[in-house]
Amino acid sequence: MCAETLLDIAMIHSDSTIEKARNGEEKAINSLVGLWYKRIYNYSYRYFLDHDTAMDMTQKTFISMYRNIAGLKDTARFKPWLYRIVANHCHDEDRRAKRGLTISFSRNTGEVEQFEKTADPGIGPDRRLQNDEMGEIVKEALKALSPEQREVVIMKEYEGLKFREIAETLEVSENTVKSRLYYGLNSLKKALKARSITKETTYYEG
Amino acid sequence: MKGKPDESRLISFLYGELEGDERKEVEEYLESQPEAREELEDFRHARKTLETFADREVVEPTIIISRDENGPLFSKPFLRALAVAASVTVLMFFSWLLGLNMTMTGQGLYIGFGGPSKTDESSGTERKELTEMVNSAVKEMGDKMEARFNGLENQIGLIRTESGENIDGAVKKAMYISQDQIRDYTQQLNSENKAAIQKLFDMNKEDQDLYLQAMLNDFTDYIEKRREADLEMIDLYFTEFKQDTEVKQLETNQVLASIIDQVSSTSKGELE
Repeated sequence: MCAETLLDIAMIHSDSTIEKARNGEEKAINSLVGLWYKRIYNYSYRYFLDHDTAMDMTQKTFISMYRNIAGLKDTARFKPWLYRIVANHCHDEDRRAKRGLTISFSRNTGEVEQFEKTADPGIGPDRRLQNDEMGEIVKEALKALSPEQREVVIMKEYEGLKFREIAETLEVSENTVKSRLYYGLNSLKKALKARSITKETTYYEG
Repeated sequence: MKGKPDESRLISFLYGELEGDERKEVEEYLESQPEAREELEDFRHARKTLETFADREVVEPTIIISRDENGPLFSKPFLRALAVAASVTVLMFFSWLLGLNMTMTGQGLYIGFGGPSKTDESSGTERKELTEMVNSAVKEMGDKMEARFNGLENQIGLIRTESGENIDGAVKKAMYISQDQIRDYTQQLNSENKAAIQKLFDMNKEDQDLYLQAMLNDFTDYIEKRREADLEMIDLYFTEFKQDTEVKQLETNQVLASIIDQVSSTSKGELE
């Protein structure tokens, strides 16, 4: 799912940046924010399907990162560590929402939809329209998942984390991660079938 | 054959993380269980569908993280309030040293150094004299200002008249000058235009001659080629006609020969 872009490579090889950030270099911290902002935002957006909440979670994540990075013992653990922060903030927000303590001022996302792009800008308008419709269906299906299943699906399918990394992030076993993913994909499969979207009725190019 | 693999193993297989014997076992199971195979295919399809929910582009806000050089101590509101209180205390102390007084009387609040001055009956007379002095000074000032204003007004009037005459004269002069200039300019333009148009005509004539010549050459070539083509066509027709004629001649000869043969054989038969 995740393309190997120059950004991906930069993120993979950002050990020296993390080391400098741990030592308090502000430029390094700002670099890390630049490198990881989009990923953390998209994780949060896929979790809540709300732009304002996603921005809020992203801000909180990087503030926490700034405050706590000096305590990170192993730079190789930076990625799961960062995702743990955002996952924890998302859980907190979930709990707050359930207690009715949050009020969303966001309008229906008609206005910000313009920022969404399909994965491949080279595809034609018909395919783009189909992808947009499918994207909406996928959003609904993701929303219907339990938080535990949703976060595992997002981390594996969209953020490209390994099972070991997801287990470390969520502080559960690998088997638990795989089990949640199984039931998450199962629910998605059922949701798609309910909309008559099967492999027979869908054509994917490439 | 072993039983159904658990969810964990199926997921590992789906994501290509099984190897060796484990992988082989799952493959064998799937081969023997079409429903399980179908389920796995559905999972693959679901994963593919997830791709349609693409990343959103987001503009990263400008975050400038810099540490507070003064440290956390001075950012506390309590210490800020303490500093304000200290300043007020120092101000009051110095006010007391300098004898600053605040007194509330029937006429209002007095703030000053020393006490408020007391008034008596003698000051009433002084006030009256003072008032008269002020009034006369004001009147004198007013008269002087009026005279001065009148003088200024006259001067302005004179300046306006003179300026007006100057401006009118300048405008007339400018208009007069402009007309001459315009005339000269127009004449100059006309002669320039005339020369340009003449040049254009001459150029055009030369170009036209060249163009005409070229056209005639092309037309001549065209006529020549056309004539050649027509002659070729006529030659071809003649050749075909000649060939047709020869063929017809040959056919006619053959028909005649056969008629002659028939007649000869008929005659011979009658004679016998």
